[in-house]
Amino acid sequence: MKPLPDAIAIADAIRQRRITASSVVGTALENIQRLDPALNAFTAVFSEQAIKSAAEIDRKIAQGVDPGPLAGVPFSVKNLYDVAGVTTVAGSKVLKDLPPADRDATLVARLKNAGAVLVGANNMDEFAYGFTTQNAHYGDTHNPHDLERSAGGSSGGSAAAVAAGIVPLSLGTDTNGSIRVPAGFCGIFGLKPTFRRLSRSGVYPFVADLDHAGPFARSVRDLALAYDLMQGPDAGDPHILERPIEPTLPGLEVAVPNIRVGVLGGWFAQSAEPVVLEAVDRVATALGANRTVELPGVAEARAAAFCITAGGGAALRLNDLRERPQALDPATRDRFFAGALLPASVVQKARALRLDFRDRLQAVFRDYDILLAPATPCPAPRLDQTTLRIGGRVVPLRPNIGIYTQPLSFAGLPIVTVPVVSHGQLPVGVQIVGAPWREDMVLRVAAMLEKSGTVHVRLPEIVAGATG
Amino acid sequence: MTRAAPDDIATIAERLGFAIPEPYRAGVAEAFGRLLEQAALVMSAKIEARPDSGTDFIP
Repeated sequence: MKPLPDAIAIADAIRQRRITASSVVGTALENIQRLDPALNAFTAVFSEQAIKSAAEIDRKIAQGVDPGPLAGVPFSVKNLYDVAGVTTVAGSKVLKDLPPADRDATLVARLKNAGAVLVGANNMDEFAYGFTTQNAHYGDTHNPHDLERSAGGSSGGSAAAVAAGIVPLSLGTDTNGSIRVPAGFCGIFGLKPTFRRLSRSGVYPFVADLDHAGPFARSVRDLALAYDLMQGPDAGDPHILERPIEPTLPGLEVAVPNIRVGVLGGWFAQSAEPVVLEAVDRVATALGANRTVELPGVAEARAAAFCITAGGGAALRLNDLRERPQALDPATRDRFFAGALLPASVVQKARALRLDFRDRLQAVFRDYDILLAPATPCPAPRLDQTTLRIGGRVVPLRPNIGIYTQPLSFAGLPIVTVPVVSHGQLPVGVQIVGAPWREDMVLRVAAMLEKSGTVHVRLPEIVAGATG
Repeated sequence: MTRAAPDDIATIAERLGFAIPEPYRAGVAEAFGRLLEQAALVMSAKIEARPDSGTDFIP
């Protein structure tokens, strides 16, 4: 097992002919072979195509043609992204007999056009409806830091693959926290961009009102580069708003002077384990933040996101619920049934609440550049864990993992999850939250924290052991 | 948590075209109960109806 360095380091080495794309992709494929039996992060491996693509990159370099800023970088995608020639299963069994996708999802194509090489598809909660990547059809994904614990979800396979150093880059999606939760549990960086910023063309939908696509990486600069390469209009996706491409990598190292940072209190400080609050404190101290911000209406916002998710998610599964409920994962089936029975008036009121909450947050961002919040109420739970102690109460685990992510994505804000690591403890994620369309700001702050050593990615012991 | 009677849920579902198989009913009732709690919170929020609250949300 040879953990790969970050994507930019790999691409630089390949473009400077210090290593070949074929050797790097070969290493990624060996890493999958070596570690995935323990992690179950991949549901498909595209060895043959990846080897061919890597050879093509090497050929271009030999001919003096620059393959792009991600030359030869292996990457993977959550298995709800379309990959040409492969059936998109979205963690389900009900889609597995559909015809293969005839083209790559836009974001996959954009990374490939920049020279990246797709090596596999990652495990997820069925239809992205979950926070633990425990899947009745494809098995559970295990956290590389402790195999008995969850990698988080729903993009858990992607996060585990990056955390274990199998690939430096992976794509996930985030409806209520599905990038930020697994990034936190696995101790890596994850970006949920502003709602409607990146194309979702070729990404199997869960809840159109709330779905975001975004990357995972082991360094902030990789996150920024991948994000930059994926921006831009897409005729295939009328959902994205027309915005100029706003590259973040060139200004990533530029310090943010007089940054106004608020620490979210109230809802965001009430239910977390001490280790989580300590992580937020550590980030706040590093940024010189000493003001607490109380957002009004968070409980209602979270409830509204919950209802829109239930109703919207179920609306896409009506035929399955009618014709083959037994084919659905029990972990999602009951909630889809419940969502199908939700009155439309609730969803409509929830949408009105969303506008109200957005307006309140916009007012907060007149006084602050960045807000801080925990990503999850606890570090990665055990896979057999069913409850969580919150504020002295025992509550069901799965519905409550996203209590801190759900209200913030509801407002569509750009957020980076950064990993806080303490000796001998599991990593903990902290959300760096920005005003709409300010991905540049959240990434710059994440880069400042990374540079100061406040946050960093730690190699899991399972990988360190496998390298010996 | 709000309790919803599994058989009542099944009856409503059936009228809407979903036959919830018997073994799933308790689980669906529990999920519906959780959803109902969140829905109640949404419906109790004191905000005005907004004409712009369609699906076309802009952050």
